[in-house]
Formats: sequence, C-alpha cells, structure tokens
Amino acid sequence: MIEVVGEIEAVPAVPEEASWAEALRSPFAALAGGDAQALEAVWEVAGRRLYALALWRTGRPEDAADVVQEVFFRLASRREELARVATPHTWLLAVTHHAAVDLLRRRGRQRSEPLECAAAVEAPAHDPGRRVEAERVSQHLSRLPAPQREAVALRHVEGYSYREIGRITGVPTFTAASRCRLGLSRLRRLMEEP
Amino acid sequence: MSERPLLSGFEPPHAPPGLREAALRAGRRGMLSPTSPDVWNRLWRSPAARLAWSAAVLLLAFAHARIPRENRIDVTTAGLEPELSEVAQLSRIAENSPRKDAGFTLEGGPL
Repeated sequence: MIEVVGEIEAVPAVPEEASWAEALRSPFAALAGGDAQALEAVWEVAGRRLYALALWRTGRPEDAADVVQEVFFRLASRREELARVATPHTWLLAVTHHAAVDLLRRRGRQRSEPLECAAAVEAPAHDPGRRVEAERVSQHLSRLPAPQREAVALRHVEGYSYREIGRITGVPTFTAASRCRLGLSRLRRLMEEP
Repeated sequence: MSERPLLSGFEPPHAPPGLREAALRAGRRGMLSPTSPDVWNRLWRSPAARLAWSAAVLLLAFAHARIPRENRIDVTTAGLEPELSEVAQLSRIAENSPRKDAGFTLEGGPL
C-alpha cells in the first residue's frame, strides 16, 4: 500500500528534464527551416511525454493518440513560429494540452462522463514489481477530474513546477497549485478507501 | 507499508505501437500544407489591419495637434450630473483625507 506523505510532497527530481528541453532546440530549428526529417527527432525526444499528457487530459488512449497526431500536424503547419519559441518543451506541451481540450470540446464530452481506466502511469523500468501498484494508481487517477489529473501528473510524475504547469495549461500559477493540491487530496482519499 | 511519497517513481505511459508512424504521417501532411502564421503575424501582414491601425494613429496624432488645450473636456467640470461626475472621479485611497461630500467616514459612521 502506498503511504501519502504530507500535503505538499517533495517533487521527484527529473534529471533528464533539462536535457529533453535542450534536445528539442535543434529539431525545432530544423523544422523551422523546412526539414521534415526533424519530426522523427521530435518524436524520439517528446513522443512519450506528449502521449502521456494527452492521456492524462482526455482519459482515453484512442483520444490521446488522435491528440498526438494533431500536435504533429500543428507542429509542422506552424513551423514558422518555431524559430522564435523560447522553451520548446513547454510550447509543445501547451500545444498538446490545447489540442486535447479542443478534441474534448469537439466531441462534447461531459466532465461527469466516466473515463476508462487507462494506464495513466507505469511502473519504473528498473522496478517492474510495482506494476500492480501502478495499475491501482492509474485506476484512481482516472476518477479525478481531468484538470486535476493533468496537474497532479505533470507535477508528481513529470516533476514540473507550478509555474510551468500554469504555462502549459494556460492558467495562473496559483490555479495550477490549487488543482494539484485538490487532486492530490482527492487521490489520497481514493487510495485510502478499502 | 511503503514510505514512498504518492506517485513517486512512476513513469509516464508508453505510446501505443503504431502511434509513431501515424504521428509522423500527420506531421508530413502538415509540412505539405501552407504554413499558418500566428495571430500577430496575421495582423501585421493584413493590408486591412495595417490601414486600420495606421489611420487610428494618424487620427489620434491629428486630434492631439489640432485641438487646443483649453477646448479639451474636463470630465469632472463639464457640467455632468453629480452621479456621473462621481463615477468619473478616482477613488480616494488616502485614509487621512476622507471626502467631505460623501456623507460618511471611512469607519462607516456619519460625518
């Protein structure tokens, strides 16, 4: 069983964070110059993270896949902007967030509609023994409202600051922090249920 | 019972097989489509928008140069109704100088 430690938890360090942000600069510059091969580099660096964010927001694997395709289409069709993007990873995640919101709006999904239990998190590669625990966490995450689920996962799985989460999701920093706190509190209650 | 913090150590889910190819196909389709400039570039490049904002700037500059200062309207002394004049005035924030015409003090009691 997982124990929740405190309301404000230590955010796990994500050592590769700076590297993936930097790794996107070169493909962005190449895309801005019209090099279609750079799309593959973007996928290698960011594909998994974009899919994860889309899944956290939409709650359904098939919707998340549609969102990722839309993001790649937007990325290529807005290539003129890319040379001026200061933080490529935040920009890419923000585009993903907005594409997910657009998709949900187009489909008229109601917030109260129950979501499937998708694998929102996975056990670490070096510790496959936590697979059952990951399934249980995914199950409870799927019961959170989408904005809270997205904020909690961005904070506690990806390790972003509240400011970055605010930038990605287009809300003030305090709103991002509030969503994290409420989501975490609700997740704790769900996990303590027998 | 573990002492790990909630969600600690979990990783984001892997993308399903086949999504890579589908995403790259969508990207290549986007490369073939004409680029869509952002809203500021669209405004900057639009002849109609350029005409509109340059006309507005010229009109403001012209009005500023041609209308004599003494003819400009002072909203607080232009004979507005008292209620409108009240609205046009800025709120007072100095606690030591309560307004004499407001009919109440900052503490809420009558003057």
